[in-house]
Amino acid sequence: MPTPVPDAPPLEQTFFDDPVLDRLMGTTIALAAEVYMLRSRLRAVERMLAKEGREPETIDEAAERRDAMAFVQHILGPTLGEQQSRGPE
Amino acid sequence: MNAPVTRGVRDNDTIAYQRFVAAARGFWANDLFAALRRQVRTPDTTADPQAFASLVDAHPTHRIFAFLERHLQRMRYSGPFGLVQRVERDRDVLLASLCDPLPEGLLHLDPELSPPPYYAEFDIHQHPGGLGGDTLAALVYREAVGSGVVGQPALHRRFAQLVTAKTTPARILDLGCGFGRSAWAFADAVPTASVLGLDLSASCLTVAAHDTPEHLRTRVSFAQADAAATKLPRASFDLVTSTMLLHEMPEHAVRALIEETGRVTSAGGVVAHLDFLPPDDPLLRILFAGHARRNNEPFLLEHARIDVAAAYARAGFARVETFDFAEEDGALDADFPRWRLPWKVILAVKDAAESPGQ
Repeated sequence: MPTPVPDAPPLEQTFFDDPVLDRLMGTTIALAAEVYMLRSRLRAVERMLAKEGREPETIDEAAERRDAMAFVQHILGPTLGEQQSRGPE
Repeated sequence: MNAPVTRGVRDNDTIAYQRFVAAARGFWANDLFAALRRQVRTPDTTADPQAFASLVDAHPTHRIFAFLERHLQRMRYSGPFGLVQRVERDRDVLLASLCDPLPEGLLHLDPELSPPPYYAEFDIHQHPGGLGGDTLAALVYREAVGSGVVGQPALHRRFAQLVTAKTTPARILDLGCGFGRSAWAFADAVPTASVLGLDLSASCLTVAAHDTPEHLRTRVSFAQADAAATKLPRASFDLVTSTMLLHEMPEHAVRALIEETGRVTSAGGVVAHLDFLPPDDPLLRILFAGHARRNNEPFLLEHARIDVAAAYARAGFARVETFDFAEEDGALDADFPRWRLPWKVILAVKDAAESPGQ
């Protein structure tokens, strides 16, 4: 890694052999969060439409948390690196 | 004091973003940790610790575990949907709420206090600016820990009940009291005691004072001071406590704090710290050491280097014990399924009769 110029911000920590992987992982997680926010917005619009333009119904926070956990299980499941059906490695 | 006011689409986005981060942290602490446990065989006692550390470091699941620990914490605090920005959007309302008049004596800030240099050296927990600067920093911290074990009153109640089962103090000093939860827990555990909470952070103390429940306001107070040099009268407390303080101080400061607790604790009094010490399990030990770097907690391992029995003996304490602490039911079970911090209680009892030099 070349020597940074004086007073440059410290470089972020890295965890993979190629630091570019760290940065791409960061972008992937940020995109996942953005997708989740869009889903959340979409549900709010759908609730409003269901009420024919009236105020959206109260959010069930526990249900929202369960939804977030299911979403995360789906997108981060591959990070476990384990086969979902038995086959050769 | 009211919770931050939420307004419009931007705030709903932030709520959804933080819900995502919280769920992802749940995945990290549960699923990914469990996968790491399955995939990394615990070495036998004769194995070379350095070789095992290298093996773990190179393991892809560990690398993803480490990455997510680092970056989910960053996402919690920083960026357009981080908690710093969330609190910033409500700055005026929140500042106004901190201007409500307080009862005389509940809060004493010291504008002349110079915090020790280590205090501002790092952004602990990846909290930009830390707790020592902005007036609203404590609200960011409170939001950040709010849904976890650390932010829940149950943790503090458990610790207070454990300690007060061993001693019934009249005067309690709570070092590094943060935004008040530990001080309130001790005040509730001993309804006849007075409790003084100390912290370096004016923001934390201000929030603690404003949030102190009405029924505690005659017995609890907060003051800005360095726990390692309190300037309080000697032998003025029967119980001195701290919760998650020692690991945020460098070794020299912890040594000074032990000396200081020896000075302010009365004869026969008790000191009780709830903190973290490296676990024995080889994999958990590696994860704990990595947590220090990834969570910007550079002093996390320093107090573990101190021989606490010897340090407390020098400070006038007759007996010192260290034991595991279960922050929730089942936390100490061998098959506890989640990544957790290695909570420990350090309990020191002072000589009933003080020597003349103390």
